[in-house]
Amino acid sequence: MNSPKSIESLPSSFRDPSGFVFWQDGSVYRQINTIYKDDYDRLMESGLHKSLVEKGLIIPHDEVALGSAVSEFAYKVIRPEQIPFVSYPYEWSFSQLKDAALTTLDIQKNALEFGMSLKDCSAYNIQLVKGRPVFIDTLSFEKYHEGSPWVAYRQFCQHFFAPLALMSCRDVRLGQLLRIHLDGVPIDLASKLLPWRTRFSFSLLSHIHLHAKTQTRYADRQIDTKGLKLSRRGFIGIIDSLESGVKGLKWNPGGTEWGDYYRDTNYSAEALQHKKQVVEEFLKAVNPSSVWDLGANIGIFSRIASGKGIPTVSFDIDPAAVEKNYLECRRRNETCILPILSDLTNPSPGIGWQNQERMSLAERGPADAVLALALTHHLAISNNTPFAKIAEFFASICNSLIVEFVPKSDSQVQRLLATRKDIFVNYTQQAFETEFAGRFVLERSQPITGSERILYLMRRREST
Amino acid sequence: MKRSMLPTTFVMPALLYVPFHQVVHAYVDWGSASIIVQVVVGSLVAVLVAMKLYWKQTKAFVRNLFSRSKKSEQSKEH
Repeated sequence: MNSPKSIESLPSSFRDPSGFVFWQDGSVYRQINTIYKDDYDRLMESGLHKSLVEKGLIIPHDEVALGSAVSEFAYKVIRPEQIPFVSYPYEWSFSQLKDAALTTLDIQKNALEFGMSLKDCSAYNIQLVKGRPVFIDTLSFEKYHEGSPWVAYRQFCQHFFAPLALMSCRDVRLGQLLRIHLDGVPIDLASKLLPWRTRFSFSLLSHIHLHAKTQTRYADRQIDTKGLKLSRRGFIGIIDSLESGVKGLKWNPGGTEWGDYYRDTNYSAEALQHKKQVVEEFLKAVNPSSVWDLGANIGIFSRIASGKGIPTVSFDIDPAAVEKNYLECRRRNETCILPILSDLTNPSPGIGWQNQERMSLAERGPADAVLALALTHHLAISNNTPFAKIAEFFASICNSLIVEFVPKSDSQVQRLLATRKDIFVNYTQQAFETEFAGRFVLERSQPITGSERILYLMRRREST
Repeated sequence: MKRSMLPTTFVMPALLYVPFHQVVHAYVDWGSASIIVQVVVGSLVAVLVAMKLYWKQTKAFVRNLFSRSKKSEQSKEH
């Protein structure tokens, strides 16, 4: 057993008595406790784990020496394949959450074939790895007992079906309810928010509306559910019904703020080409091990980095842009780019128990390099953020920065100023350079042909 | 279908749609309600699947019956 000083338990991993996740020497490990021995052995010996790994549905792992164990309850210690960037369901686009839901159901169907079942269905058990959803919780499987209902059914409805239904049938922004409700969107809330017409869909009627009514009906009554049995055919029927329900939910990414940005910009084809070329040169000079592209829109510049095999997270505030970006990743089978929904003026905070269960965005950094292209004018003007604060934020999340300065004379800045008073007297190139120089060493700068914009390559000062 | 499943499958969904007062407090066990919904919906789906299966089998049986009589007529003609 290791000394507690050399390891660090993950703050999100404390609920399941079957085991927990911990950090050691920069790697993530999972301890499996003796209480979970039978189910773990069944998972491994039945061939279910092997089958799921072959299908790319579950994260592969290696069993390591028990000497790494943290407590005396250890049965095994495993080292799962490491995930470059941990993302959360409230940071996913509609199709990312939908694919995660279908992956979970697919795993449940596979598990049943091997006489096992998922005992929990948290959306946090899925991570987007190499462009596709992968199940990461090896301890979520248990033996299936004929006649037993699915214990994870409610969780699946709350974590996947309810938010997807709300995003599809009411408003895609309701996916953000997952950020408030850590255990998924309450079924009664979803039922209230969904349009009345959704009662004509069998899956929504049964898994949301009827589910909500039943919860209300039995909320203050003691019920003996031990006598309630669900046949295997009924069990499969529930999974099939959820699957067809999820598949039937659609959302068309269009008509939002940034969805058509590149069709509605002042860049000429020549300027855009030059900007791509400069970004590529700067990336080559930095040769980063990871890139965060902030305000990435549909990921045009993210793909310059990901195309070089650099793991790239492509952030945008607009659900349509993130959706289009993800659909493009899926279409092209891209493995190095991860589109993420994020409002940089209010990035994901640490949430859950002690504000530590889910990491803030900053905790998941720093990235080796950040791309901040056509972004600072939005932060400075739309969000009234001084350049010093913007530089401070960037310095907290990256080692190198490729940033674009857009002057006040630029038509896009003029658009921002059209509906507000120009109180931004310090919005000048000189002020930008001076404030950023406080946090970064300005290594290179390059005006973009055919525009008034300038690209900078900066390296974070050691002292910051 | 077992006899005892009938009320579960057909009567309970109707009963559950009667409006009820709302109860929201920290002692509620939402899991029980989810089990009931599963049993009701799962049983209903199982019955529908079984009916679909029987219907297919019945259709196939009738079709076989007719094609057999046609064949026997054709062989008599030869």
